[in-house]
Amino acid sequence: MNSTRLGLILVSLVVAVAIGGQPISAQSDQKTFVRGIVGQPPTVPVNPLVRSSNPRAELWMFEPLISYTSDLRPRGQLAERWDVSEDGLTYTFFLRRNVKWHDGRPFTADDVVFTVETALNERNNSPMRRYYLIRNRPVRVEKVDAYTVRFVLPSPSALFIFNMSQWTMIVPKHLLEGKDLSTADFNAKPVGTGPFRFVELQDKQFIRMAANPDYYLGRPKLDFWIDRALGDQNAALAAFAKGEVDFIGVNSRDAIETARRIPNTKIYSYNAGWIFSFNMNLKASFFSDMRVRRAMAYAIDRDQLAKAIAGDVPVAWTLIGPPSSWAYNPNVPKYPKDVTRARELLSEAGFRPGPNGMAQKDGKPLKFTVLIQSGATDSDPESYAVVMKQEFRAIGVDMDIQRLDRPTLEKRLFEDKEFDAYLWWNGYSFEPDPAYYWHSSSSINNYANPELDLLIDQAASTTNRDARKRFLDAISTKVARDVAFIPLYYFSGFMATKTNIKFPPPSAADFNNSAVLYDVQTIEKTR
Amino acid sequence: MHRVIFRRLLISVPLLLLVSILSFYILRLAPGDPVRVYLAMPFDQASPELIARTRAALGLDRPLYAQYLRWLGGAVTGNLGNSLMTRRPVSTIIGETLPNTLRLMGFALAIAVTLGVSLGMLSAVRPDSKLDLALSITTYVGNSIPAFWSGLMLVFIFGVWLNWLPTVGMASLQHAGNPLLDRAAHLVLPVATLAFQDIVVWLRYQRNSLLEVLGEDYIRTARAKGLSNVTVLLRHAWKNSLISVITLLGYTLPRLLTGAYIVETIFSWPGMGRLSVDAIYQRDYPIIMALLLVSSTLVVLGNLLADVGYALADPRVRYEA
Amino acid sequence: MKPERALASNIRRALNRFVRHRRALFGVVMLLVLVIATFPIPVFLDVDPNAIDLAGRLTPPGARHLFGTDNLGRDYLARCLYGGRISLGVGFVAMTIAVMVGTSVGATAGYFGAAIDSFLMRSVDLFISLPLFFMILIAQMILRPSIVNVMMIIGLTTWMGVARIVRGEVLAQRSRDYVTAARALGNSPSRIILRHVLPNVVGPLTVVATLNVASAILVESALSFLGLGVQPPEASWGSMVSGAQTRMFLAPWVAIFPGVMLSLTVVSFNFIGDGLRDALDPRTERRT
Repeated sequence: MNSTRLGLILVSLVVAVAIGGQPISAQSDQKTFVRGIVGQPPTVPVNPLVRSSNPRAELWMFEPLISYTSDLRPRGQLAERWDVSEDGLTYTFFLRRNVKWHDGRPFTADDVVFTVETALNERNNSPMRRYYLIRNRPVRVEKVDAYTVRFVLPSPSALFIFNMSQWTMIVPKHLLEGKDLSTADFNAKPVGTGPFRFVELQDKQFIRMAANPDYYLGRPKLDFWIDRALGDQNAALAAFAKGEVDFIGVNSRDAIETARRIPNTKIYSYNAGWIFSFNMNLKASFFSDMRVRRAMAYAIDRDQLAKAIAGDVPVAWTLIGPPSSWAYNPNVPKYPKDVTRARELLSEAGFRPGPNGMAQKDGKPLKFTVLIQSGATDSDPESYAVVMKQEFRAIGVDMDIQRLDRPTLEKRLFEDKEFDAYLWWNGYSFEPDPAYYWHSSSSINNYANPELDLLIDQAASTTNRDARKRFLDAISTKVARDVAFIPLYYFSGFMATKTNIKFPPPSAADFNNSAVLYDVQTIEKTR
Repeated sequence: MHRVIFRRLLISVPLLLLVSILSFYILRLAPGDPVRVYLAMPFDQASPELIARTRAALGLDRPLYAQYLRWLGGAVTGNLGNSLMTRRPVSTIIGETLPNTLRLMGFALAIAVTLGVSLGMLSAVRPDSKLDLALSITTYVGNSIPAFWSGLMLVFIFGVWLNWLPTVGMASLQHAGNPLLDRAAHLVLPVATLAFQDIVVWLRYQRNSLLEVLGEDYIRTARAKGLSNVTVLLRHAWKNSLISVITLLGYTLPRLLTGAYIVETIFSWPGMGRLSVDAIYQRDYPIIMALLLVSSTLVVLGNLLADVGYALADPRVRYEA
Repeated sequence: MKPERALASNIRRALNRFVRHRRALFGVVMLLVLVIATFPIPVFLDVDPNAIDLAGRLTPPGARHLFGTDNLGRDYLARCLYGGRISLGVGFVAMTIAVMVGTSVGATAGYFGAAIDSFLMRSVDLFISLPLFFMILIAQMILRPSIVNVMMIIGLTTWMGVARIVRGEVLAQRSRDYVTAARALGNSPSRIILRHVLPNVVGPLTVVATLNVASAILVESALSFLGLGVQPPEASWGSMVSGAQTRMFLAPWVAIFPGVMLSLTVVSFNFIGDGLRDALDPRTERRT
């Protein structure tokens, strides 16, 4: 053999080894569903007790006791049914008897008690803990028999059943008891009860799950479910256009428009219940004056903003929504754009146009900085900030925009509380609890109103929906009248999928968020 | 020569220590901490108590010097700690990610050097010819287009529009054909994006150093003896200029590790660049420290390589200072 | 020959060579056009780059808007021109800082030698050992993110190359007769460095400085990819291209115009640097 050929062989061997690495097992099955994930890639620990990580592959492997139907009624998931005592303090869950963990062991009341107690144990720092707290006091859990569990609440709660559908998935006692939660082997080899079981996880690349043939609601129609990490929105659009993934989230108006132009594509949307809003520090000197806040609300054209920037989303006038929610209150004070009214309000508050035309009071201009999270350039918050800057200037208010990375922003907002204003998403679910944002004990915006505190407490402890609605209506009216914040639009999630993917009723196609709507096993993929 | 290398290595120990102290403290000057990211609560709903407890559990409530000493103690014995986000050992994470990066950057470098050096030789043979001009313009333009722009164009032209090449990750998830070809196909676009940026550096370097060498007296003598341009080039000049390339390689080495963040994002490549930027955004201190350590070590090694190349190239090495 | 006279004739010869360097000439002309377009012209045009017109978002290039409009209906030509101010500004300011710091460190190290040299050059090593991009990223988080800080940070993290070159040149000049003579006459070190040594370093320094401008502009665009740097509503070419990515299909012009201007600028600086290097390198003369 001559040396040139030997050299060639050697070189190709080196190249082969260099390209090689470990092979990703090949599956040419067409019933594999690949979801493209941008942002937080799949990673350990896959353990709902340890982290509530996005994206929530956990939701396909683990299940809570309760889930919601697509018309937002609670139904049993791991629990078959439940009873509530007269006083609303005792909930008894009757568990399904035919549920097995993915390793074949039966699912019983012991697992539920173990999960709840582990989550409640302060030393475990579990993100699940807060769902078992009723107004900061823990619930008590006890096993009645192998398939019956009783929860005793410290006080009546409108949110308990909803909480049981949230990040309250049950984990197996037999694999986790006595283990250090943060380092348990389980975190990399999770075992749940859900429609898909864990197969493999390549850190920050993908997680592969396979259909659970013994699933109690029937074997999923898909064979495999893969969550694949993608670099950014553009990488996701390219991967989707090439058919490398079946499903991606599209997070901006123009990305949605681009996805629409890809052949064989359907766009789904869902209401997440979050509100994108302009928040003010109500302790900052001029924001403490309601007339100033109201003037600013009158300065902006919410309809036009939403239409031009966010696209097809419902405009928000108050904290609870979207309009399709049972808790929505359409009869709140609204502030359509009215520059004249805004100027009047400012001068009532003592702000007069100064030499440069900008409003000022005692020589002090009405000037502040709005904080937004840095990220993709020309994101919605950035575009909103830029347009609002111009609209505020029209009434003589001077707003600067400051972009900060997320940890810095969170420190400024939640720890140092050093801010004038910020644009952010306030999260409410379809079982809204305004306490976190508006109760004086926890309000980030420094909102303090004893009357509202009382209403919030009453709403949270009233289980009757009609009675509860009356309290929530009073809250949303009060917050809107005070202009305690300026809600802009109700966030809608948009997703692009291939037309050969069939979802359960579209409104239930919620893949990203805390609203737990199941029936993943019914998702189909055809040729 | 040996003394130079030895002295360099000796100096690098306190250097690395200093780098680690400096970066540890600089890192902590950045506001915020990993706790909220770790908890991954929907937006802002983590209670202050939960945050304080988690902070303590992650060991972030201790004084900074104590945290540093603890880290140093571990690092000396080869334990780089666990990622604050995933609790996996940092060494495992680096061990998984580094080969991905080396594969990407290794190929990109190999192609940039090969093309750059050979095209540089072509340019040097006929300086200021049309070919020289064309090569120089093309490669300079390649260097002047931001990677996120050229990468995106490649994705849409060859990935989406012509649909010739994959654009996501290192391999297909479901691939029936030859896995090696599949992996090679995944390399093409990101490697092209990276190499296109760098060819110019090598080309100009090779061209100029060759021109310099071609002007030396001994080459003139060789030419005068009647040897053809090409023979002279290959026999004499090439060897000398290769040494200069080694020198440049030394300075380029550190960039291998961290230079590819943007390309890794565009092509969803799970490499060190994204690992580092994510770690910075999540304030995952142990990972950032490990990355800084690895990259400073590479710098030290690279400088050493450069010095060696330099010494080889010029026996009268100016170390009189 | 007196050093000043020699210098003058050297400069003349270098200038001659530079003018004959076609790419460098192209670079200079291109750059002049860009600088005139971005600095004085917008003043006369009197178009507000931040004026929003939501109804006219993403209008294609046409008679009313030569470069079309962006996602908020802002005139893209005006934004490209004002964006150029920031991009070019970042390049120049960062370069100036880098040259000032690098020259001081390099000249001091080279002139005094011994322990001072050793210490300063090890600091240079230290700085080079820190991965540049991450240091910039972290520095952006520590300081308030703003374009001024971007300029400062890029400048303060790219002076090491300058320092090395200046040191080498100073080292070479130090033992020359005219320096020894100046020292014998009792001139202070700073005077000697400024009056006698640095003028001889100007050549290689110009080359590095030119290339530094190009790389600073690119670093800024990479920061923009991460959403750092210039604060809205201001923009740089880099931030405009990076913001245009998701709209490339819907409105290709929002990516193309700033992208082309950015690349033209960087290419121009590279060509000029290349031309300068050829022009200042006396060895190229031996060849021709």
